[in-house]
Amino acid sequence: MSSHFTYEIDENNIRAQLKRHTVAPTEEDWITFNSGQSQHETSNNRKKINYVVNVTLNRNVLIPAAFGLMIVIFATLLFNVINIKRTTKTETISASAQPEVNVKVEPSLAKKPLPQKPIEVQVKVPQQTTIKQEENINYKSEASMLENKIVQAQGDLKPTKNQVVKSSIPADSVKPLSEINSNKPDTSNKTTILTSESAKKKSKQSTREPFNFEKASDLRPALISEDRDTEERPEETP
Amino acid sequence: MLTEELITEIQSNKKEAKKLVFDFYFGKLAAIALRYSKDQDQAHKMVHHSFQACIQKLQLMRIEKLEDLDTWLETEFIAQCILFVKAISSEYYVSSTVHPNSHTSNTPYNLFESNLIIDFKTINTDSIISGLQKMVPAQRLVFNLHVIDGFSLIEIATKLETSEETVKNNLEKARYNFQKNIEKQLKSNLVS
Repeated sequence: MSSHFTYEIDENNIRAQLKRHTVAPTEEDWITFNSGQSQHETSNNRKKINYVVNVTLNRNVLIPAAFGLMIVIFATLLFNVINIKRTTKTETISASAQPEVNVKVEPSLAKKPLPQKPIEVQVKVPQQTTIKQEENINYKSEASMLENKIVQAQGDLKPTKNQVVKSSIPADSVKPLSEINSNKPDTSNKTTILTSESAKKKSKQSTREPFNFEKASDLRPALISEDRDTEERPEETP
Repeated sequence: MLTEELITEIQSNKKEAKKLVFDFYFGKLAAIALRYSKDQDQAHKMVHHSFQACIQKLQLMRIEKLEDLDTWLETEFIAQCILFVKAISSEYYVSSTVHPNSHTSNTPYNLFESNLIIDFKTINTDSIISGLQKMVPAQRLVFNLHVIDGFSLIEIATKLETSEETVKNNLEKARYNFQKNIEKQLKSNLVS
């Protein structure tokens, strides 16, 4: 603004003029205003709805909700992994009900009948028996008979310790155990190491014919060449 | 129709009552919108927007609080106009100050070239309105509020959310620019 400027406008006049000034309304103005009014109302309703939504979905609401959801998920995970019910049951039983269980179980056990063990009667049958071949005893049949008798004794459930098992074997054929034991094969630890040659000789000897003692009496001592006076052979004595 | 009955009918959203109010107050409010806006189109938008806002406020208001409907509607309309102008922030700060396409004549106006004497006491309303519309929004608002509508500087400062000093500066600039605008317009009219 320059210093030469002089304000010449009459403000009161301008004010009066402008206050008096009016614009004639038209039908178009009313139509536009009416349509704008309806649009404004709908937009206002939308604004109200948006406001409500904004209030509900506020940061102060969303963050605690998210944290709460996380806590719930974590709790369900833990609940699935750790079963609380099982641990509590075991604890209560071990703490309170253990002595009662012991007390109650004992009479029940006493009432129960003890399982009857089958009484075993051991009958020693000699494995090696010296039985003459001439007698022709069927050992197998005899052994089976003995076994049957043992089974019968077990089946009666009234066995006696001093039960004597009678056998059908004749008394002469059966020998006492002491004798049987004496005839046992030599089970001493004496061992003879056989070489290959000696083993062959032994095998040969085993293959040889059995020695005839009846013929052995006919054998004569061999004559030495010095003893022989003559080249003739001495005559046989009857 | 009594104002109370009219207000109750407006509050019950009756179309006839609204039409009555519109017909009765539109001329006055459109004139206010013309001097607060930069052109006819903006004035048209401003009228409809501000009037709708006023009607909505009226629907929510209690009848006991309303002393005079004319004054209430006028003050409320002016407040809505201020909000409308302030809402166009780009225009408020930039576009009104710079008008690249506004210069129709290629030769700039020279005040000292013409010896025509202008009588500022006999200015018609259209030239006053055009002189106001050419001003920057901030200056236009201050000039309208203080000179025409009769608000004090403090009231304007509170309404525009600025300091009193700014309002004073703007008013000084507005007076200078308004006179220049009218002078220019009148001289151009005389030349043509």
